[in-house]
Amino acid sequence: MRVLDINLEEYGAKKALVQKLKSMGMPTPKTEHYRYFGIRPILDKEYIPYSPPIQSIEEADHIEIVDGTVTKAPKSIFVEFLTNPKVDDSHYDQIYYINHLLVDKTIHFELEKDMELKIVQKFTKTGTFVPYRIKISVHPGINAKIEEEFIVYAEESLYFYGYDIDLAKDSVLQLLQNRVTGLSSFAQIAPHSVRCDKNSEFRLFTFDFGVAKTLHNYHITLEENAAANANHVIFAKEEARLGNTFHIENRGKDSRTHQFSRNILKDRARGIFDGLLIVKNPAKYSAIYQDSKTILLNDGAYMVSKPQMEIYTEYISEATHGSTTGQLDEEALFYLRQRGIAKEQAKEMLVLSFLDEIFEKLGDEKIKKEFIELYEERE
Amino acid sequence: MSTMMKIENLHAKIGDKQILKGIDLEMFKGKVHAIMGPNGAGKSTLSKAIVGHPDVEVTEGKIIYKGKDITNWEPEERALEGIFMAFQHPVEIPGVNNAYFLRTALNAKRKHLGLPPLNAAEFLRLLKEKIKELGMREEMIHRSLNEGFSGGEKKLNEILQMEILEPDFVILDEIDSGLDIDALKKVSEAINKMRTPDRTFMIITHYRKILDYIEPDFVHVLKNGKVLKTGGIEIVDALEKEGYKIFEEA
Repeated sequence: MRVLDINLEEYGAKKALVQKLKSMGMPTPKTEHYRYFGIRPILDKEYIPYSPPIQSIEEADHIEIVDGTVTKAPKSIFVEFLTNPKVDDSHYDQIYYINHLLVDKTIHFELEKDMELKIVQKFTKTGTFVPYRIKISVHPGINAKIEEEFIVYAEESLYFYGYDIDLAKDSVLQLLQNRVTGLSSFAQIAPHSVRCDKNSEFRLFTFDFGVAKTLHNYHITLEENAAANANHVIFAKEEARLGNTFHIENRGKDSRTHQFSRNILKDRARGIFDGLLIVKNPAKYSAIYQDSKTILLNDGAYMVSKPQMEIYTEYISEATHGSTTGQLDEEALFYLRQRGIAKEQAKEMLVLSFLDEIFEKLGDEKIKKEFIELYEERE
Repeated sequence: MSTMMKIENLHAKIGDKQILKGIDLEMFKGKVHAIMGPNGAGKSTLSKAIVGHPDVEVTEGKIIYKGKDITNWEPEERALEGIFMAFQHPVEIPGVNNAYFLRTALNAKRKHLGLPPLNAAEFLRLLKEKIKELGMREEMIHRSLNEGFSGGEKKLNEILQMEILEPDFVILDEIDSGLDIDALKKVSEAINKMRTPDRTFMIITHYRKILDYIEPDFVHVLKNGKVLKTGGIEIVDALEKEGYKIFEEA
């Protein structure tokens, strides 16, 4: 099957989704958030279709999802499968609706108490198209951390997946997405929707390390006094296209968005940071901040950095955005070499110093070590 | 006197501009060589050529150090063989911890010398001792390299690095610029302590003051990319009275 051949008429039962998709049209290379990703060859390709089955869940200390099927979960997590989950009706990505259209049962996790949870996602099917969705509901006042880890064996495959996250009032969710993709023929498009109710906070850390073609499209809405702190690192090599796009809407007053993106690109890799921060008219006294910096390690690498803001209120506490793309600082490199540090090691020190701000915020040495291993391995 | 470095007919350019036009200079073990000259004479280019800065292209001539031709060596190879430059404007590198950087540099040198690396505790002990001697604040070692340091602190940090790395050939590129009198004294005292029969200093300066504290054995005057005059401290006296015009090329 080709994704572009999906016949919308076959999905009459999901009328609202079909209508939405018809009004938006199918994604094309000219669709703004796909403009630099190269979506056509991915959607044009023939795949074996696969619908993840539901199976019995083995008890474990973490959640394991293999090709869209939950195989393991802790006993303390309430897992169910939703036939008609509530869908974000203002997502900007067509594939968000296609993804929901193709999924019969959405995986649903309820977070009812403070917790730290690990989700291991395994992608194993070769030559296959796998769509699935995950909904996470964070109950009021809950403080939770989720760490998502990728294990990728799937060659020549396309995965559609994404989170629908509901943060109830006064809740906090830290989502760490550690996406290491070591196969160049692996493709993934992941539209996410995050709704932050009053006084809630969504902390997002995304680490995209690898050589694959992946794009994550986040629609995040913030009600009164809600906050989104989003931090992103891309380290792309070879022919990789790794990217994140965002529409973050400050809808309630005193809401805050802070977004940092740090990117290191090598070979002919392409990184995408396309973030639109929107302050709606009722969102008085909101603060938005966006900062994207990129280092290109050689001439063939390419960064698409588009920090953007749309502000529809006169009363705003902060609105700052900036973007820089450059090479490693030659004077700093020379300074380190003049002290006897080998060129490659000096480069690594500078790259790490560039990412340090985000590693510091996360306070997780493991991710830093993984980055160093990956950096050294392929350098 | 035993030769540490011999520079022969050195021509070098930065971009399209020919700056060094035939430098001949011999520097000796255990001696302090002061390099003076007007702005644009080529002093900094000479120091950059010695340390292998990528901006400088040597077009003719050679640099012999400890009997080896190092003209085309990589900067880190020269550093590991004992060439150290205290920078006029040390770069700030946010995110690179001062102590981590210095331990990496020291262990690179120890590896080059066939010595085992110092572990974190051993290194910290050494570093704290040196910091105390230099009268630096201890918290500076945990900060990012030169980030937010005052001008004086940056220069002291260069001296700290020199003390830790114990080089054989030290270039002090306008180490006195931007230092108040107390800081200059402190830096000079530290340098004087480092003077040994096996170590050579090359001090680039515009001013006499530092040479009152660190007495040079030789003074070389550069102008238009050449060494015009070599002598003793009396050259500095003459320069103070008459300026560089007294050493015009014949």
